[in-house]
Amino acid sequence: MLARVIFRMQRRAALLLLLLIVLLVAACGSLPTGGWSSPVVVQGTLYYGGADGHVYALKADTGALIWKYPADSKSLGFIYSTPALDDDAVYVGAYDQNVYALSASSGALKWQYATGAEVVSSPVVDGNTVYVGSGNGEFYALDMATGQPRWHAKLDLRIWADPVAAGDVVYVGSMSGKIVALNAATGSQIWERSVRGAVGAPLVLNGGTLYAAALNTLYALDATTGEQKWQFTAGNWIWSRPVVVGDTLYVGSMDKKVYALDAVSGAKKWEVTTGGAVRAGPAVANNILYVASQDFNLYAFDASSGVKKWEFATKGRINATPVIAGGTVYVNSLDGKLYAVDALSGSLLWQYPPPSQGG
Amino acid sequence: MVTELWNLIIVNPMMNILVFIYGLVHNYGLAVIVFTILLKLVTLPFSIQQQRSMKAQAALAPELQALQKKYAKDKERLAQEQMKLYKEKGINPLGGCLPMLIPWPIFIAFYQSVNTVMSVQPEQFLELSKHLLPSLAGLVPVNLHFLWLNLARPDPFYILPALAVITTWIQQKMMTVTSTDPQAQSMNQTMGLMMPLFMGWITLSFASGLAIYWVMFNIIGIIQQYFVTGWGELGKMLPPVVLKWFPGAVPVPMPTQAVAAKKPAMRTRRSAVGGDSDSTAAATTRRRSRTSAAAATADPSGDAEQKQQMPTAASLPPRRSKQKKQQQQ
Repeated sequence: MLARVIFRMQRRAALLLLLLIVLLVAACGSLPTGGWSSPVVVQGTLYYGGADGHVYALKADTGALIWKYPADSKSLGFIYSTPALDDDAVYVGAYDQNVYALSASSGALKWQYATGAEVVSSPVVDGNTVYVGSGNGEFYALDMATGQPRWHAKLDLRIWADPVAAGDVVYVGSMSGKIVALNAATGSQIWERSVRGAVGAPLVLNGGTLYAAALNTLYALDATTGEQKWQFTAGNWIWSRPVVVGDTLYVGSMDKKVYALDAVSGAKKWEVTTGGAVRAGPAVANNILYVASQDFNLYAFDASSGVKKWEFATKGRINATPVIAGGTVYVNSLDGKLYAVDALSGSLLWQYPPPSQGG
Repeated sequence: MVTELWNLIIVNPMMNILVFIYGLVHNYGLAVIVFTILLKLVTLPFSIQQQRSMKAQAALAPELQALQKKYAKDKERLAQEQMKLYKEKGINPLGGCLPMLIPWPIFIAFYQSVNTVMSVQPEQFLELSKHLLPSLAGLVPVNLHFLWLNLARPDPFYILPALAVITTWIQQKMMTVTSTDPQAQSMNQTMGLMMPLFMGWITLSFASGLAIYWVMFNIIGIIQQYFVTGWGELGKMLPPVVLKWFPGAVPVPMPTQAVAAKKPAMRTRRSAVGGDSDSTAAATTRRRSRTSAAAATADPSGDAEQKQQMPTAASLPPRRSKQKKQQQQ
């Protein structure tokens, strides 16, 4: 009996190989679901990019849908951009290589600009210009009204980090480890600094200091000259947007921790640990620190001591930074839902799509 | 848990070696090629064992067929006799299967490594933070341009898919050993067609970085096959001038062939001392059977059907024992 089984195995070995290949293709060939668009709340309306590749506008108090773009089932691909708003326009970049300007009230398309590569970085609006980086290393300054480039600058690798603009300077980080300061009007380079590792975390400007992260290290640079003031090294990569409140800087890391640092010296004050990597930036309101983790949870900690107040569980990883408005914390989870949670108690207020719509 | 173990033991080391090589050659396409060569060297013992085993099994085809005819109505007895034959010849029937399967986890892990290191999507890039050593993290993201290719995208000129089809077909042909078994023939034909087309389809759809790996994997396999077992079925299709200059390797001697070559005299003396002409004839037949099987195995063109015509025991005059010789003197 065993002998017969063995002989049959030889003949079926070839078919087994083919099956293995099919399993390999099935299991390994598909890309992961993605996007980490953070919500933005302006005048009672919440805007964000959904995991399904649509841009949504919801009523911030009830979660009722106002509009979505595209209105049909067509998808823009993954949306990593956090929308930027100005007057009646919402600006957002998408993985389909376009930057879109939509009417904030109706979602109608105002213009779109094809950058030639995936747009991961969030657009930034300053004056009448929309600044955005692209996956081909190009950084654009687009006219807010028409979407046409006023100028563009070429960095050597993908630009995934959110830029920051202030007055006549715009700061950009690239995956090659370069941090550059550009003249906002012309795009000419003011200064450049190279660090070890890809700059993927959003840049933050606060009080003359530019904060940028590469690999495990958070750098504090003089915004005028690019000179390093201090650096802090975490246990793993820092891809979280730092947030400065008073003299404390909060930043998350892929080592599952959130650190509270002295914003002036970089000295660590305390740290808290979650169950998963922290890619999302922390958010602070009313002395409460809100942290979203890849362990599917949203946490609330005392911003002074790090003592946990509550946690709220979603059904997917959270890579998007939560936002707080009107006593509510909004968080975009990779389970495909946007959650509105009471900022004090952590109880669910609403979710979109609602359960009645299969959410 | 299983995923974590898989990553810890297999994927993480592979990924780090791949990035380390990238750091040396500063080119991801070259790094994939170099790593493919290294992987092939690591799996070489399994490949050689598999090829030897397939060759030896094919050489037994006539005897297996004879057994199938003899015991056509008794499957249980047939299986027993087949196992007995394998045991006599010193061949493991699983010898062809297991070595073929062992490299596949390595292939799957390498596929995952190549894909993740390319980090087309931000989430994939972030995943590298969980796999890469801190000393190597500064080397990513890798430069994805190699020759005419963007390694994260399919080949726009279809050159790699064409090479994948051709090299897979060549290797299949070289691995195929002629068999008189209709089922085996059918299987060979099916696989010979399906595998190249399937791999062509995969390389057409997937990133060219993976296609480079597959093509290199095949090319090295073809070279290895040439030196271990020769041209196989492909030999029949090659022009004589090619075979003249590249006759195919002299294969590594099989264990049964080596035993037969060393000890024919001993078997002769033993059978002579026994004095029984029937046992002498049977021993001679067995010896000559092993010799003809070994000769078929030694054929560089891989043609197991090309049996040497050896005399049987019945056609030879009976051997005289020493005692008989002395008596006659």
